[in-house]
Amino acid sequence: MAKAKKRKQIRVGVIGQGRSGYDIHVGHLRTDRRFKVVAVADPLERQRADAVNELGADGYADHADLLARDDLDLVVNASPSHLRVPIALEAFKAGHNVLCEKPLARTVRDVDRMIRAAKGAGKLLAVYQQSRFAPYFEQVKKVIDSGVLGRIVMIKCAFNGFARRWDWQTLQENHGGNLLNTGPHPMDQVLQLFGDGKPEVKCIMDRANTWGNAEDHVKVLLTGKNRPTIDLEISSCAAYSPYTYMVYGTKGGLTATTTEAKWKYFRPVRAPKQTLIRTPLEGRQYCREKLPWVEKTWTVPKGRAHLFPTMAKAFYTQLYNALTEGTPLIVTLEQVRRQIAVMEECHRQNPLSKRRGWGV
Amino acid sequence: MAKAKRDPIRVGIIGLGRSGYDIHVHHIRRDRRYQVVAVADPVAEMRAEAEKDLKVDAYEDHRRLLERDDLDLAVIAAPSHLHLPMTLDAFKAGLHVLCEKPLAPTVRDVDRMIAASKRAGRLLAIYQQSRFAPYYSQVCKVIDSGVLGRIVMIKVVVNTFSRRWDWQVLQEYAGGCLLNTGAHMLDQLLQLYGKGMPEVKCAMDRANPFGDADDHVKVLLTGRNRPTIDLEISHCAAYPSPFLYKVYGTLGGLVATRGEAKWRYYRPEKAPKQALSRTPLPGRKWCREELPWVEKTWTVPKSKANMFPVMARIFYNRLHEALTEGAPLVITPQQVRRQIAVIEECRRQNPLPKRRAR
Repeated sequence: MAKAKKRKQIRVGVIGQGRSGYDIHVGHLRTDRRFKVVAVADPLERQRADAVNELGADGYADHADLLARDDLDLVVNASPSHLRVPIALEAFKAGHNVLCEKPLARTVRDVDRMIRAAKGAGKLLAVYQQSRFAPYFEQVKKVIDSGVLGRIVMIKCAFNGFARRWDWQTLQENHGGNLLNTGPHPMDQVLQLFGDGKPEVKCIMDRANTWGNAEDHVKVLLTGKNRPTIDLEISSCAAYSPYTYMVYGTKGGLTATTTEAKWKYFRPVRAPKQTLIRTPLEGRQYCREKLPWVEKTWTVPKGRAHLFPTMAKAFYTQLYNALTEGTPLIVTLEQVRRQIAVMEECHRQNPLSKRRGWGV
Repeated sequence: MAKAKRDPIRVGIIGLGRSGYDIHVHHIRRDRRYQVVAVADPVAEMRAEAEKDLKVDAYEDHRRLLERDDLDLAVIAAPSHLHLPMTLDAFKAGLHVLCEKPLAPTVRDVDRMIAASKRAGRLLAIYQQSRFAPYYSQVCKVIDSGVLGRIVMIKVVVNTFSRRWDWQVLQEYAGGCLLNTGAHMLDQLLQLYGKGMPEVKCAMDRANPFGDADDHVKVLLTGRNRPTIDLEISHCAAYPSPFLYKVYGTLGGLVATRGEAKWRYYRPEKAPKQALSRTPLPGRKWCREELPWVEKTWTVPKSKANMFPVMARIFYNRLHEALTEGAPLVITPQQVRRQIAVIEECRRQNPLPKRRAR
């Protein structure tokens, strides 16, 4: 039995130690022996302190000092959204591989700048679109791909709630707002389900519950020839929101939350034979029949029930393979570029004033 | 020309199907202010049944019915593609017209009907009875009360998984779910939208293998300072929506079915005081608070639980006032014209291949 080649441990520097840099990334990396967090950067001492004290990482107030190190295999760019692009460019200039948090950028122009910079530096650019590996999404895609639902007519996706918000992510100047904050997750997913090509975009944005000036209510319709209609909602003024996914197919449908899915379908060969009748039906009847439904369910397995750690593990696995064996990333830059293009179009259709406090 | 209040309005009903018989005959025979004087239907069995049941003359050709000189009102409940020619015939015969929905598939047709009604000096009423649905009145009431704040979006979903193989699946009969069901919901929604022609974005599809008309429609109506209207009518929804209406407001929301509504809202002055923070919240916190929700419910009163007779009664009340007192119609041809304009734009954005007409 050949001994498995021992692969390198990836030395990581994390820029940003907030809800993403610390809670998500350090939160995963500390449990993953393929990686070692050796440096963190954050202007706030209270945010740096945790990784420094718990993991013995070096702490930097200025990310430039972290980037000046020459012993890092990977830099995680979990800086605030509006700083993501400039910091990524600095990281490539300093010769690092970069894992960038979402949203990658606000414009396609900036995405292209980063792609060029990564190429020029001969380094890897990966984007932390971890929701691609969400168990519920994988299940939805599996059922759709199986063909049992027939041709997919429409997919509805809702990342909704009713909540007021007053933090930095509510500001346009911070590249905040529901679409950039949350949107990359479902948008990445639904674009995979949409299929190839550039969708037609219709977007409505509003400000309902925000102390900032960015949107907190988003409705997007994506359409295309021979493509399922995508109906995506990311709303913070949805007082009742029962589902995450709703799939409409010609032979059935599916509904899912983040922990469960159920779907039903019928086989046309088993359905009653009907023929078109142009004259009124006897007895003023409406068409009625019993379709031979097959019903299935899925629940997230116990071992994958914690969504964020599960997604992190899957994401970092493909990243590790890319860094150590050169396997192509599953979440590609082309896919992310298309997502950013759609979101940029959404913003273009909904210019919002920069004045604050619209919602409350 | 207002009719004397005590004389029953003499009605000729054209079409004895699910609408003409089950809705209109069903109501009028119980309403002493009206009287069914004659009926018309191409199907012999329908005519025979009406003759026996109502003891009235039953014509195969509606034009023979319209030649009578003892009618005040024609109810046009024939298949949708016949609404225009029959309405024009009825005005020419000097009658008032109550036409079923959808009024017509194009604005051009609607304008012809409006012009004919003006020339004849007669009323054009359209049977958009859902305007008087109890659940709709409740939704309007809650919205108008202001407790939900500014209305951001109103969603209506009418969906099911069902195949259909009758005339309603054919474009040549002005079928399809948008004209058929959409007429009801768009009438309601356009009232909630407010004034003005909205921007329309529509995705239409046909999942049903039997016909050529739409059976899946998604419509977005938008406008400056207007709530977004999101209307879905689908026959390929394996998990039908539990709610007919969903209202998103800045201070709360509402969901409603035909029989019930529930809504929740909070009063900002009773909510925790917050302030914008440009720096990360301490402890990597997410914004979290308890809003002082007020929860309310409504159930349709037992007496109104069977919606169709209730809506018919209100509709025919309003119609009687218009016919005998010159009261303005609640549901006007102009309102219906806007609805048809929206439908027409939806269809323009989504040309569906047509079956060869017989």
